Amino acid sequence: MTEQDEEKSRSGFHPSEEAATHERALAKVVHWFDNRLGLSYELLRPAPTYSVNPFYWLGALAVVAFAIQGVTGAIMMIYYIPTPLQAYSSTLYIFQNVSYGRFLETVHLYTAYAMIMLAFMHMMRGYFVSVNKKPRELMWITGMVMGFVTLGFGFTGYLLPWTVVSKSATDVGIGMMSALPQPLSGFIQFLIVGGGTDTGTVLRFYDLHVVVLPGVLLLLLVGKMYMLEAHGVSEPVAGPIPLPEKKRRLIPIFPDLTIYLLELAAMFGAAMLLISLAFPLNLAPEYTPTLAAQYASQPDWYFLWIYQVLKIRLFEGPGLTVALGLVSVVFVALILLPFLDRGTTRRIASRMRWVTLGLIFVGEVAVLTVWGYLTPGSIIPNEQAALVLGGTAIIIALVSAGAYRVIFRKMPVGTTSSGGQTPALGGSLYATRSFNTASLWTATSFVALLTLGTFGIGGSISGAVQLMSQGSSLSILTSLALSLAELSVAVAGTVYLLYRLDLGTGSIKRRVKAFEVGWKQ
Amino acid sequence: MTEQAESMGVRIVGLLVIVGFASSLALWTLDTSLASGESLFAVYLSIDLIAFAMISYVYRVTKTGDSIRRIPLLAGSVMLLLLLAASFAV
Repeated sequence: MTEQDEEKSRSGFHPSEEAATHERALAKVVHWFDNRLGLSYELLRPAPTYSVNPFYWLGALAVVAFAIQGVTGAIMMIYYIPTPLQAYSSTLYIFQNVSYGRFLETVHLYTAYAMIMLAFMHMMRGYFVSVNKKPRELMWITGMVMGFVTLGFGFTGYLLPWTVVSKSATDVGIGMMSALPQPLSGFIQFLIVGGGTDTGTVLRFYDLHVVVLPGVLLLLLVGKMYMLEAHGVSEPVAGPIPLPEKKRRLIPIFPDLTIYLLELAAMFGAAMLLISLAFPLNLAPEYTPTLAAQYASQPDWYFLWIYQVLKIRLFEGPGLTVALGLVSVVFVALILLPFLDRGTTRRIASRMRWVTLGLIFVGEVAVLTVWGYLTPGSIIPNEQAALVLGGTAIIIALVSAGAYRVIFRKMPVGTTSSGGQTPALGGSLYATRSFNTASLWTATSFVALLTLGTFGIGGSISGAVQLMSQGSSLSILTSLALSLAELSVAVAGTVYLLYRLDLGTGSIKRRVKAFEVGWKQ
Repeated sequence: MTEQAESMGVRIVGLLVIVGFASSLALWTLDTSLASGESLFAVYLSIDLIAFAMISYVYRVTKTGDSIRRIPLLAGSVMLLLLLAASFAV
């Protein structure tokens, strides 16, 4: 026996106990991964009826968009030549000489936009209803990485037509990445720029767009689908009233749920076709350095919010690294969300801080995007940036706090819809037709709120600044009044939205009364 | 599900099958060299997809024993009529 073993023996520690401790620790790690990856679960489990709802399948619709892009992209690959000299002419050839070529390019572009928008909606829905909680942490992280890959598709695909707009925007993006700290900057430069020649850049972007990123996305998709199969769809956050048995009934994946998904895919496909028909794509002129000098370089809409942050005067020059650091912090926080939001409840009523943070994020992204669209190429003064971004955050926080105070102050804290400490009211309230359309209403309210809120906040702040700097005039006062009216509607929308998200549909009075009756029982 | 709703569902499925079949047939007759072919292609394919979605909806709801709701069917039918009208205008 060695001295160390004697020491352990004297202290009452035996080798067998040590092995058992290691075994327990190993079992704990294996159990943690098994719980999350579902390695020992059965596959193709049936789904509950409440998942027959488009909001549960936003990610699936993004996959449908990806599939459409795969088909349209594969056809375009036959004609496209990835060299700086022929990229534009081959794109123009598809436009002018290939049967339905323009339509093909339009569908490819719009489904890419739809995929990015659906991925964003999927993420924000997951955030608000807190699907990232145990045991779905790895699903959330996988989904976030898939979101970044989707943005990568947008970034790499945008350059390929070699138009003056796309090349200038990509140059801006590459320039921004060079401001990242080493070795990250060097790695990204190596990955997307190579030797620095245009030929190398186009080839690398093309390779990433058609081979590497689709492969990575498919691998991640397989992993995420496997975890979805292991955990099943998440329970709805329906507030204190439990779901009726009818909504909990299980339906088979095939044919019931498959048919529902095909229904959604068909409707989405038809919408994409008709939008592409109504708004056909126009190809911008070919890139030349002379022509590029006349354009205000601007990335596509999904990167505009980041670009608008970088346009703030404070972040010019060496400040660019700080700005990119701030944006990176937001992304890292989103990835690590399951480990930051550690509360056990998924109820919106009990997660005011996180819900408000999410609303501020959505609001800021929307405001920055619209603002970026309206001010191409112009540097944003620091005071204006502080006023608009700070104002947006303060207004959303106040509206959210007010809405919580008005709606939830009388509501005792409950658990999820599965019951627990909440009173059982029976399924009568949920077994109405309105329950089936509640999600649709929520989405409509959300979009309306976002649009009105964005314009309302922007207009109000801009009107207030104009009023202070230029004095009062009829046009300024009218614009300010209209913006305030929009903001009021947005506030009312927020109140109504939060009410619906947590309590379902019906009048507030009826709901509160029904709840109180149940609570007393 | 009421008998009336069920019979409505069955009748509409019959019509939708005819519409879907006709639009599929029309897709094969398109002249790909014409500029208008692009628009007609989108319209006919949309008709096909919407008809398919409506048939699936009726099948799914009937199978699960839920009642067929009129709003989705009416909205789909109006959309189909508009697209059929548009196919003549293109």
